[in-house]
Amino acid sequence: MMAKANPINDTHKAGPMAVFFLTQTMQIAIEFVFIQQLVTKDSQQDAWIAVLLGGLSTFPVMWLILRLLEKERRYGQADLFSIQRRIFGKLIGSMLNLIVSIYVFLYSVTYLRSLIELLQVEIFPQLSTLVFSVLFCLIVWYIVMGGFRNIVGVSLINFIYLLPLFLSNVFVVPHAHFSNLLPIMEHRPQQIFLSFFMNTHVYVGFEFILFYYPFIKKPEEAKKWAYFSLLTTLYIYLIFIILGIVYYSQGEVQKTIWPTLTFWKSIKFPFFEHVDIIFSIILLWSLIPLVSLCSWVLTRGIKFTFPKIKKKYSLIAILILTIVTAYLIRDGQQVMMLTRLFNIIGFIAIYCYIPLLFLCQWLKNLFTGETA
Amino acid sequence: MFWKKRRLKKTDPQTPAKSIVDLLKQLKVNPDFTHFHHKGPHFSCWVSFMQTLVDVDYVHRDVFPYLYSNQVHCLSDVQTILPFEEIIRTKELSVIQSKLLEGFIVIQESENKPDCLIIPSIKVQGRQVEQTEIETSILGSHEGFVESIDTNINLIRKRLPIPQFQIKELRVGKISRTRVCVLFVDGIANKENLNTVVQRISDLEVVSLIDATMLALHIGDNNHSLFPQFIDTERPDRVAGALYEGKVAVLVDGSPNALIMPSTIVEFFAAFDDYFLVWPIATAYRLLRLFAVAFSIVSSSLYVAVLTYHYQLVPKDLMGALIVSRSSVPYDPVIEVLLLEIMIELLREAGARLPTKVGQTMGIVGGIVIGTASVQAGVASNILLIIIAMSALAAFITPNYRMATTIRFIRFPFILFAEVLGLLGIALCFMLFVCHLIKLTSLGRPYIEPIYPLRVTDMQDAYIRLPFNFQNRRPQFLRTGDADRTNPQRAREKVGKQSPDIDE
Repeated sequence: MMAKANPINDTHKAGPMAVFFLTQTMQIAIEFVFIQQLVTKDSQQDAWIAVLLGGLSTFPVMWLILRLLEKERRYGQADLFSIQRRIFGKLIGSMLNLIVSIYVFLYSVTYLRSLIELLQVEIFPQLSTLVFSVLFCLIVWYIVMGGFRNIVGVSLINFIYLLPLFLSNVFVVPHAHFSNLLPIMEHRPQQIFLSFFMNTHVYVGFEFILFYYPFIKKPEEAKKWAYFSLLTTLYIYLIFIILGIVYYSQGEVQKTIWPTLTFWKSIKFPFFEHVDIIFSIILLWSLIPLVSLCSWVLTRGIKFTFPKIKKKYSLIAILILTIVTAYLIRDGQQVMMLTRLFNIIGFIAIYCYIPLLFLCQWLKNLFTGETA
Repeated sequence: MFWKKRRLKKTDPQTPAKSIVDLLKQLKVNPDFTHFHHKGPHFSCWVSFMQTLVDVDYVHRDVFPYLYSNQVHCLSDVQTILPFEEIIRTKELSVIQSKLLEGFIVIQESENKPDCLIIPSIKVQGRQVEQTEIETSILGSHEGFVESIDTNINLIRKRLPIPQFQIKELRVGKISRTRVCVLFVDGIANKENLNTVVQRISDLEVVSLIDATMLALHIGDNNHSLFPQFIDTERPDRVAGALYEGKVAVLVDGSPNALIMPSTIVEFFAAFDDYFLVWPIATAYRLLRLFAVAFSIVSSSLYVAVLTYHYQLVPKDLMGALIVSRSSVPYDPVIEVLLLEIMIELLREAGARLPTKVGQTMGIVGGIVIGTASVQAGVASNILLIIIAMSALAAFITPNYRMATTIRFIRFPFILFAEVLGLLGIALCFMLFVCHLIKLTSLGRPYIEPIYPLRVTDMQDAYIRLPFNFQNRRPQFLRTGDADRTNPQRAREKVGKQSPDIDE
């Protein structure tokens, strides 16, 4: 019944700091470009409260995840696929694994397609989704073939490259109207909760530690990096939402699809203009580790269920499927729909399924007579 | 495939001589092989040597007088009487053959018996130690390696007068049996690194080994990568510095280059001069070099991308100048760029192949005449000419020649990508190279080390160079046997009072 523990060689593991960079990449992909529009819809100038609450709510979930994984370490490999199979048995466990795999797949496709949409609107109206996603997936293939450590490397470099984008907030100061933030707490809790629900989409991604946890050296030290990463994400999103509120009027921010991108257009250097184009190209970087990690997780899932299929062959199939799915999504309207759908699934996954899984693990351990 | 099997089964084409008679017969064909019978009153023998390899004066002065003296009656007498520290007496044919071809004298009592004495008398001939030609520097030592491996080891040993400095000698090449020396400081160099180097070299199956850079291509981690994975240098001081740091160096006989391994990518952009300048200046020049490399790689492709797709990036004031210079050019930006890039490459290649005197003329003709003429004729724009010339200049800033070639080469994929997808193409191409670099290893160690895996302590001597008193630990990257460069306790005691007040 228990999955065969397949020990992972130390040379394929990454240091505890990897958790920081991977969580950063999975959480901050391209959401900070449109977070303002999503969140201010229901709670206007109080949206930052919802973002703050959303960020804070990730901490207990992260605690649950880490606790779940730590407890699981004594029963074999501590990743979600093994956990589900151990707790729910082979049949239900495999079905849950399939659902989780679909979630991961949806994750990568949603982000890939929204980035392509952004590039098509902002830079190349004629950019072919197919050609771009093929080129993109070739790079992803090259990285995933190098293994987990390469994915960590790419996400580290992604973090470095995104820094100038975050620092670009400085330019908002001369144009900021801080009085836009007033009055504080004007909205009812229900409205704030609606905004909170809308921004689960931006915070989602830290739960991927469930998949790569066995690949971390010294997992005890990784804990602090995980929390630190959540804190950084919270800070970045808070800054961006405040930027959106103080730079735009409420009517404008709710009608702009990518408020941050529009803000970038106002930045001017004497040497070159249109920083927004350069920044949206840098955004491309954030997608590489994200899609790579998702594909890597999927290859591991397939290997777990069908041990005969080699990862390097299933990877090709996954990437082809990614390309095809991205190609099937036609226009911005569908991308929006996909994002909404993903938001709901993400909410369920984080706030319902993970506590439930924790409970199930506790019950399972209780019934098998082993104390946690 | 059975024919493949048969080919694999085939024995070595080299037929070794079966007996000493065969060997002598084989060698007698050569006009520079001397083989004669000496008949003295008490003792007669056969002497054979290669005239071109042996120091003949030395043989006449120091060997023959003893051989002809009256005290000698047999071969063992010769051995005792000759004033040499190392005389080999052997019957082994392979030893005789290899020593004979290295410049030793072989003395036999009778022509048909393999029992013989082997006396060293190698003629050392080669270039004198001269100034470095490729990695020139204004400050510091000017000595450069030469083609003789013994001279090179001498140059390094002078700088490392410690018994821990050790040398492992290996022979590489099925036919050439070239001498390859692996140099390291015992106790500092990582054992694993050393074993990897020795194993890779001894596992090598090649016919001959002509140069150290050729060895680098054979034993590199990824032989298809555009990026060189080991530093080659012709400066003994740089090798000595690397050995003190805990690296391993490899010398090949007949090559004026040493390989330093493992290395990271930033080391290719660090000149040895950096250590002779005060740290702010050294840091500034290092950053300048890195900026130059970045500029050299992307400038021409940015020109293509911006002029083809993203003209809104150009500021208004610059637009006028661009339009004026581009208005007479009939081609697309990409054709224009490729034309000039290839012209510069031609100039460089011609300059490298031609003798120095003609080469200078070539530079003037190419650079000035063709450059200005192409602008006046309206084939290329002025601004592009400036960009291309600057990027060519920037590429030559790289201290390492092999890295400079790589940087010049990877410009072309960038230009092609820029033509196809504009800035997006440049970004994709850049990603491809960065992902490749992340994957690359040098001797199993990560190639872009201070960045990934992130090791902040190693940054002190990577992109910036901190003052020497900050660098009292060896790089983590090398996993050295001794992490501290100096005795930390003694160093701390010598510093004295930490921060004295004003006028105290």
